[in-house]
Amino acid sequence: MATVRIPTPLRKYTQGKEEVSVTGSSVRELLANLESAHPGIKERICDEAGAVRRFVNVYVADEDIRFLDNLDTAVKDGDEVSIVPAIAGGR
Amino acid sequence: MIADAQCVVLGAGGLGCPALLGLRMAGARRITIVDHDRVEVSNLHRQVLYDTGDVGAPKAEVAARWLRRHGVEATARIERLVPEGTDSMIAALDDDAIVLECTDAPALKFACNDACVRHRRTLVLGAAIGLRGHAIAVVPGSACYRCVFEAPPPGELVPSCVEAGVLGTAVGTTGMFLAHLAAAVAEGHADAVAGRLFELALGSGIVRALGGRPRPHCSCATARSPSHRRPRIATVC
Repeated sequence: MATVRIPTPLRKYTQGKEEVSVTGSSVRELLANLESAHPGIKERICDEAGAVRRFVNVYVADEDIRFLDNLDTAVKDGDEVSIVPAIAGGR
Repeated sequence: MIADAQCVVLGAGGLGCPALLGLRMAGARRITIVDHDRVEVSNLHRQVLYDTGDVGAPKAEVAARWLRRHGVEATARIERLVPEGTDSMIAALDDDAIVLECTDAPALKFACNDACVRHRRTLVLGAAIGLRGHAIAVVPGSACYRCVFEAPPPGELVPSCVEAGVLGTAVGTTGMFLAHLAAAVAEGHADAVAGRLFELALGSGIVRALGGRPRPHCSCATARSPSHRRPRIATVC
């Protein structure tokens, strides 16, 4: 089971939880299971074609999955997976 | 050395004010502030360079005056920053300029990134919302902001600070961190900090350094190639 860090804008799908535990041997599987447990969250991370949106990054153990095997990146028990969307405040 | 660099702070609001304080702490001696906004009462609790007597005055001017009182050679440019204007503005800066992007406009952040990569200027860029901050330093040859996020998010998916709220200390910590990154790069630590996205998870007090590798097909790849590098002209005495 991996720990998935949920960014603030998506916590409405996880009942306010900052971290959730999800099973899955790859990022693809993990996102599917995340969607099953928290319906609606996946479409905020992935586009209609299933790819990770261009303004969202997914990191497995602090490494960007685009530099690994993208959605097929392996996820091990105990891995930390971070979902990091671009933000834009600062006023 | 940060004392020798021309520091250019774009935006003198929630991020810009603590960034300016931080630059002064770090020893910056030449700072240009670009902002067209005027001080409002609602700014005062987190934009700490301003007080009630400044309400209605241009932020860039008030901030520059404060810096000059503290021995910094500061210049105010009261200009509205727009993405279309960034390329010429960045191109006109000194070669060793350090740009601190402290606005809250996603399109401007990407435009500044692209211009700094194209003209080989150092950029430090940040954002903050709620209890979270992002910061990245980009130097010639490092990963850039577009290596991390390929494109700005659509407006409807980006809550502003007004909509989502931001804790003054969160934006303050992030702004100060931007100044720290600028100083770290100027003092020779670019290899350690540049190109990585620092995520300041301030609700839990954790700072994560994420990624750091240039994306092979990023638009900055051309600028990273040796053939693109501008020749430096040596001065012979």
